[in-house]
Amino acid sequence: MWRKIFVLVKKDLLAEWTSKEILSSTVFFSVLVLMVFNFSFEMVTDRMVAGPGILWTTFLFAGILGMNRLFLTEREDGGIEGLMLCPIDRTTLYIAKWLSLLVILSLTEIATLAVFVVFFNIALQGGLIALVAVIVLGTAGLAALGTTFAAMAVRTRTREMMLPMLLIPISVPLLMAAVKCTAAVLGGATLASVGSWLQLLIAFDVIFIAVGYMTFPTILEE
Amino acid sequence: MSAQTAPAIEARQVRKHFGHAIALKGVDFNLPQGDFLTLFGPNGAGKTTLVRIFATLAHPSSGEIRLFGQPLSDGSSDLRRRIGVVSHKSFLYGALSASQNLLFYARMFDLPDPQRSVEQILERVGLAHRMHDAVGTFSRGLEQRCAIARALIHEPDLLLFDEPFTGLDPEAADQLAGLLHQLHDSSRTVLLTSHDLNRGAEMADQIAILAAGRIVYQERRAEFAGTDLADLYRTATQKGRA
Amino acid sequence: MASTSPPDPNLETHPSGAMEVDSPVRTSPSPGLIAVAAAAMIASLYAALLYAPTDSFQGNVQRIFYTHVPAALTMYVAVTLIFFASILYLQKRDERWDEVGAAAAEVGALFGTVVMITGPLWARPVWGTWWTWEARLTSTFVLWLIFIAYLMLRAYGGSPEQVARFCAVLGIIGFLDLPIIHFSVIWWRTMHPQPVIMTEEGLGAGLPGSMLATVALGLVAALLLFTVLFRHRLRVERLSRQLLAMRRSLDLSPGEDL
Repeated sequence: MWRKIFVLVKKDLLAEWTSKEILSSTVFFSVLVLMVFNFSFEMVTDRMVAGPGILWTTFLFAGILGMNRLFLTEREDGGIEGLMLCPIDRTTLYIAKWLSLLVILSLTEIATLAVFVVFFNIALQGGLIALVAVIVLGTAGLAALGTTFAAMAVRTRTREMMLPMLLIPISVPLLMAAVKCTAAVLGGATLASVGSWLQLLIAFDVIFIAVGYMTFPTILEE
Repeated sequence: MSAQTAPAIEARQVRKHFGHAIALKGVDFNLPQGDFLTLFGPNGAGKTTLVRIFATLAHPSSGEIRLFGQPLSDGSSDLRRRIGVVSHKSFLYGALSASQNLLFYARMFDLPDPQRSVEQILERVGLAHRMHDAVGTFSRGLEQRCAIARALIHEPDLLLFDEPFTGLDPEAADQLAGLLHQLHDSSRTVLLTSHDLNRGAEMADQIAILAAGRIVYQERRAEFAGTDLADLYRTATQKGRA
Repeated sequence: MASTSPPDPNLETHPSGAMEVDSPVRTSPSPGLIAVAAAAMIASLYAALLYAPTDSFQGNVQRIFYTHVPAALTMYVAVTLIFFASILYLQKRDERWDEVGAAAAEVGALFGTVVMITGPLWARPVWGTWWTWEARLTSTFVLWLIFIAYLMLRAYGGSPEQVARFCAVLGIIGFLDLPIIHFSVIWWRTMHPQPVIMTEEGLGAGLPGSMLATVALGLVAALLLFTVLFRHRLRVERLSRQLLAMRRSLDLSPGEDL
């Protein structure tokens, strides 16, 4: 199974490497969102108050763009059906798509973070590893729900419009936890000081990866 | 029945409904191994649904299907190694080259030497000269040939072609017909759906007609040879509607 | 349970010819149930407006809580019903469980809307603000949004069979999200202390017996009303699906007349 997952993820990343279709739009969009936030929050003297929220809002919006794109590519040429004709379980497809999404979203977020640090004049003291951990945990949960909901959304009549409506309400606790943890790290505190938020983040990831894994065959079936 | 002589496809009372809309109303169907069968039927008769069910892409609402004697219902993920599907969608990634696409599928089907299989199959469908070009730049005809290569790469025993002639210019259609002839000679089982009565019947050992969710006609070549196909088709589909 | 007699037995005929006789949930509320629900509603109104004493702090505006709290609890009953109907649908693939989900979601969203309207009406005079991101408010609001998302998915989800599958998945995800939302909004608030205008205890604890009884009566009335509306909605859902099927078998497009 893991070999097949590797082949599937490699295919997604190779296609993205060739076309750069997803990353070019998500990264550019992130820069635009950060710029808009910068004007909107110019009055806020302490950038750290709004910073973590701005960062995660940008991750979320750019993420939605990327999720839709990843699944529309599969939808356009009937690629996902090509995958469904391969001798693998549908659940394997879920893990592979989740991993592909995780990689593509993470790359977007690295670029976003760099722009964020410059625009908002943030000093990343020492807490970089903790910050990366928080971002990975938050992105893992977003990608878990994103894989489920984007696979649904591209099959609905409203297409990509449906994804934010499904994803955002369900992700509220994840965003809260991610913002709290990010604020702690950027403020120089340890992750232990937000231990319960961190646990919530992990619980969210575990629950929705499990639900997504179990329900993915249902979404693809006919 | 032993696995060697079991029919390639054996369907009993296959029904499929989406909510209250009924696509298939109890299809009984038998296709012996090595036969080439063309399935005709008006739009909305359920041809695509039936092919999708045989391809493991859709589940029947009720009824039983066996491929090579093995029931489809019991986790058919390994049975897919014996099936190749060509539909009007290519199942290929436009950003990737022909060989990258095929290499991917070769690995998904655990072929022992993916690189060699890809080169061989591209040679066979006459695409070797374009193997490094992105599929997105191909004409419809070339893309179709690449899609056929994809369906053949794991040497399946059963080939399902859903409306393969759709959207092809006459030249590409002739090439496709030539390929189908080749496949017919290679003792594979082929199920083809088509609108084109003459082209569809040309190479078939059997023809069948699906109308209003039921098989209303299925005969071997000896039976239908020499009869007016258009007339036969009209009578059969009207029978289905009644 | 006595079976309800359909007005026209022909309406119950499935296009395939199979009769739909058994039903996992009874549709169409009986006249007795409607009468009991109506009586409970009137009694609850009487208790809320006349029987319960006027709150010494808040005055008469506090009486809105006898509508607000029962409606909120009923919304949670609806989401639980959707959760179980979703699981049963995915297990049994019986379309009627999908109908249960559809009916419960619509009526549940209605009760949620009552909560979302009565809350700010009360908060404005008492808290001095229409809205505050207080824990219970926030979690109720997020749940209401999930209801709306569910209804959107039903409206635009594609073929009926696909809508059923997708909504079942969302019904399960939404329900599992509730406890996580609950904890997150409580922690969010405690770490961001806001000016406390009214203590949490003031809402429930130390309530006089007559007020408690009024809330209980309000809850009974709300649940009965929910049951009546839910069954009506379920019946409408079933009939409209059968109508659609009959139109299909006659090759009529929706809205087209014979």
